[in-house]
Amino acid sequence: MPRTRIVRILLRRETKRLQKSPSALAMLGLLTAIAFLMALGTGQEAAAPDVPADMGTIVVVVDRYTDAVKRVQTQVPEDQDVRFELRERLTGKQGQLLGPRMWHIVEWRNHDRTDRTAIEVHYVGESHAAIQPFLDWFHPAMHDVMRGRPWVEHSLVRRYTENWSSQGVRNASIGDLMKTEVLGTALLLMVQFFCCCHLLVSFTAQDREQKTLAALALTTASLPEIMLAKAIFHLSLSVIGSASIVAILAPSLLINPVFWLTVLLGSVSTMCVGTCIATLAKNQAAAGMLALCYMMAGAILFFLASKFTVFAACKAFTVECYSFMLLLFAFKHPSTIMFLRAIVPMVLLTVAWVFVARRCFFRHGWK
Amino acid sequence: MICKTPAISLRDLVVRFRDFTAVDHLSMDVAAGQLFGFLGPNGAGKTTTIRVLTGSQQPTSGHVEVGGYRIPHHFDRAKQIFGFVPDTENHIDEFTGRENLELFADLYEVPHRRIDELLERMELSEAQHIRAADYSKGMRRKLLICREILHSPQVLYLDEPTANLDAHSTRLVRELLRELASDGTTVFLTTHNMEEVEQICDQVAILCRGKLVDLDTPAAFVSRHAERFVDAQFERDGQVVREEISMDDAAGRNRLSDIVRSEPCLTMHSREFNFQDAFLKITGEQFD
Repeated sequence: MPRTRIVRILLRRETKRLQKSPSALAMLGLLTAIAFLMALGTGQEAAAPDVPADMGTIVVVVDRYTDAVKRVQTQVPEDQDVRFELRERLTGKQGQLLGPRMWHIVEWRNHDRTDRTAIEVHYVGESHAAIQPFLDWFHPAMHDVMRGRPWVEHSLVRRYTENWSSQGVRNASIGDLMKTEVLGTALLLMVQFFCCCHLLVSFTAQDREQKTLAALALTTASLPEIMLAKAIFHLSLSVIGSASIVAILAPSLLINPVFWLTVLLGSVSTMCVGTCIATLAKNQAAAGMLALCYMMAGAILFFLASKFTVFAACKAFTVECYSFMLLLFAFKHPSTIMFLRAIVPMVLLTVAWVFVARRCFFRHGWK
Repeated sequence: MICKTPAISLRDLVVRFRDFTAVDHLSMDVAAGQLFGFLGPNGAGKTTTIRVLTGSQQPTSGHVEVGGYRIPHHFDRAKQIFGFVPDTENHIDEFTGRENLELFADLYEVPHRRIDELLERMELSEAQHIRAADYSKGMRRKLLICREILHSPQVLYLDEPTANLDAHSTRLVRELLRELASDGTTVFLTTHNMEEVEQICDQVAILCRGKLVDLDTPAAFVSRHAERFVDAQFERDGQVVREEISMDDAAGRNRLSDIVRSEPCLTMHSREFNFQDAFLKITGEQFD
């Protein structure tokens, strides 16, 4: 059993090392500063006028027709007040319908196993009249695509009964969606990577290179205690960093269990990847380079996965894929099924990484 | 003070790296409170033996005990009673000298006044608040020795403890080691400094190609392996002749008598045979 006293001493040592590492502190400060700048940007955008507070949230469930709709978007006549466009987001198969004046997310893709496409249009307010301009555009557009066949069923679902404030609408609007969700998620992943991979790799590889780990292992501290102290330190740092970012960008997430679960699982798995890199690399320089390569490879894989299906399959084996999805879900309040589809593989991958990292550390970690 | 109970006991220790045998059936005991020199040429297996004793190398076979604890089986208990000064300093470079010692003192539950004592003893008090990275090599070495004796270990392994030390610091460390041994600490020392071994070690083991070649006191080594020579310079037919004459056999002794009687001697020196000569003779024989 790890002894609390020893773990506490070792934790103090890690904290002191961080205090004496100006580059690490600068990086943490930079990430927080980016969050502040993003929050500042959001505030400025919030000042933009002309936001209809009662405009509906329109959730469109489409499947393969999305691509077809995209092709006809140029044929859509522009309305003086409301203009709808279809833009690509995330992957080629996912469609998003949105209008600059509508200020709302219009999505979704659903691969219905029957050859039937269903549209659910969710709206806010007392009447669905607010989304009528969208329907007026969408129906003829789809009619053109389907060459007049009755191609789709749609239903209008009143989703939110409360009247949103202008700020609430803006927070869910597309401008802030990009910043708060995608950039916020990316920032959280960066914090996780920095605290749990880069910093851990740097500290552990330095310990190995200078043989400090070997010296500590010869004291009363045992290897599991050393490993536990490192894990607690980097996990705490990642959790505190993520919480700070979220507190700045979207404070409501702080009470969202999906967010905390994702941060914990993401941090643990990233820490395991970092442990493997730190223990297998020959020296600190090589370990730092490997950690950077890991981050770059992840980013490149994400990019390629959006272009080629074969890479999408590879992406499914990365923890970051599910971290990203879950963090987005945390921002967007997902359905339970969507949540489970991301959380189950993430838990499995995390367990696998814990196992691999443990073996790596005890076999090579302190020599 | 030499006790009968062995602090370190090796029985038939074998360490193999694939086809290469680094330690070959090594058996020896080191008594508690002894200052023990563990010598050998490069590649003799000294470091491998120390690595086994400090738990960083699994023996291929054999029985190893330190302070009554079997290694590697009871390594967790054994490691609490020994200190290890490796050949390279492994400080936390971004910490000050004192912070390095405080970390280890906390782990060993040693009061911090002990740090002050040792810093004073090793003449590092003034530099205690300087980062370890900024220490000179000698200071780093002394800091390492301080760190490893913080918890007053029963057994202290040292690999080249006086490397990079100036004459004054070398004397300081030697005095400290002698003091530790007289207080009951078993000091297990590897070094290439023969003068040091001759001066401070109670007993010496010489290892060559993984095998124990000899085990004795430094004085006994010298007397057993001593070779006595006389360098004589004399005139013969108007020319200066120099001759090296062995005193270990009758022929040599007779030859010296003849020279003294018949030739005009210019100079005559007896050559001292020290521990280094004995070491070279022993290890040389092994290589031959």
